[in-house]
Amino acid sequence: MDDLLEQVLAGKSPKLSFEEGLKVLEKLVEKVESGDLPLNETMTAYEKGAEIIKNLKAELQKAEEKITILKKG
Amino acid sequence: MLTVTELIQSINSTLKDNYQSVSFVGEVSTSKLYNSGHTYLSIKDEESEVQAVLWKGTALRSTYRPKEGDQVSVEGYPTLYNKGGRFQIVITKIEPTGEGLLLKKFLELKEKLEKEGLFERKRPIPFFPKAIGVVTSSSGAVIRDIDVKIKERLPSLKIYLVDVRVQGAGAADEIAEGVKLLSQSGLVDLIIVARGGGSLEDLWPFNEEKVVRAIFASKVPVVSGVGHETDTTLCDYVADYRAPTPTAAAEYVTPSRVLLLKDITQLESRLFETEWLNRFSVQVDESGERLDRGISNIFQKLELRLRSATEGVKRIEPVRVLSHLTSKVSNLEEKMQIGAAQKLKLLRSQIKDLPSISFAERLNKVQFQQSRLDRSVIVNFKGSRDSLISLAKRLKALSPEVVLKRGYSIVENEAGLPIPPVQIKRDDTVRIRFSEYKITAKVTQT
Repeated sequence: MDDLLEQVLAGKSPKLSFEEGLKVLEKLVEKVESGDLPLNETMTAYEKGAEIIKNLKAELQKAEEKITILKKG
Repeated sequence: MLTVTELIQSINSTLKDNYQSVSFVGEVSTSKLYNSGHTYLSIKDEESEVQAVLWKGTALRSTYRPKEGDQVSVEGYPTLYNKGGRFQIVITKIEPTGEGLLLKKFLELKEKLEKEGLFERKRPIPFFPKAIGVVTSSSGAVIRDIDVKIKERLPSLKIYLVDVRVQGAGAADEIAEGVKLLSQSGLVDLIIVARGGGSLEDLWPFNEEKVVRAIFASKVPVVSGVGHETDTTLCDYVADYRAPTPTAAAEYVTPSRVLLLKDITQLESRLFETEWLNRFSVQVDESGERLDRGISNIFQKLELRLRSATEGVKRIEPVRVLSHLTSKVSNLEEKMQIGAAQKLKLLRSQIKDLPSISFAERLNKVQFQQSRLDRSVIVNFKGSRDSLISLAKRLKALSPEVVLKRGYSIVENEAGLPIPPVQIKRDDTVRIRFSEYKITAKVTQT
């Protein structure tokens, strides 16, 4: 998880599952709130945070729930 | 008078009014299955026995076939059978109880599988599954309840259903196959095995060894939602998570979309809306407070100093101040007089270096200083001369000549030095000096 966070803070966009995305987002927010980040990393945190939020919301908005019957008894 | 038929009908109607439904427990003492498909039983306890009939239609709804010696619980209603006039219970439900067969099997199998360690493994359930498999019947309330719950919580979730029979002969095979099929499909993140509530007998397929083993072999986590909260099956023991009902299972495996969106929105606003402003406003507030503190400190110090100065002034008595000042002034005056000459000299040398003062002014100053100097010199000189005269007078009064003039004389030795009286001895020659002359004398007596 920390590894993913570091990648994101380094400006990369690793492929994140929903759960990973949520956790990375939480950590980004905590980092920014702590005030420990230097300015350039704070800006990266904003940029990447926005990206992750967009992806998470898109994931939740999908409404393709349907039942596929694999095998009829 | 009643006919026999009317008598039996009358008694039956009384029985029906008073005993619509009875339930009791006992031991099967005889059990006979007829070609018609109906089963005739005797059920007894230590003192009594009652006849009972299990119609073919009722028997088919259950896999349980009562045998002699079984402990059973029976639900039904009493009738008087018109052929033979025999009292009997028409059974609507019969199942083993206590140390009944199924329970014994259940406990034995549970112990065996427990020893193998099948019930110890509990894998975590994925937090955000994309697709789940469900093993249950496609008809009935269970799949509908699961569907509704998932639509409500996470509409993006795909459901793969394996439609199986959930009770009766063959159900266990289908359930085990369904779990295996979903596990191997690679389509799902987890599997729910579900069934509505029922008797131990109804739920029996979920206690079958093959089902338990299929669940244990599953590559993805399995959640059981079988029966009601009070029903426990071996499926529940082997599953990675046991939900009390099918609906609870669906709820457990799906995070709520509404809550997740709320979380994300909160994080978003924490990230963007408040943070910068908050941090800066905190800094501004802190600086403001420090400034306030600084200013009030300064004021406090000034006030303290002012107060101590005021008290100091109050402590000084005017008379003492006046005498103090007077003595200071005269001291200054004295010093000025003494140092006037040097000062004048200094001023004279400094005058050259005072370009902004006009010549007339300089001259004025010089003249002013000179006149002061003159005055002080005159005063000094006069004082000194007076002192000198007085001192000379006093000195003169003490001179031996003056004393001699008053008629005294001095005894000296031959060298002309005065001799103290103790040194004078008999036959010494001494000189005696008078004011105007000297004589030499010989001491005849001391």
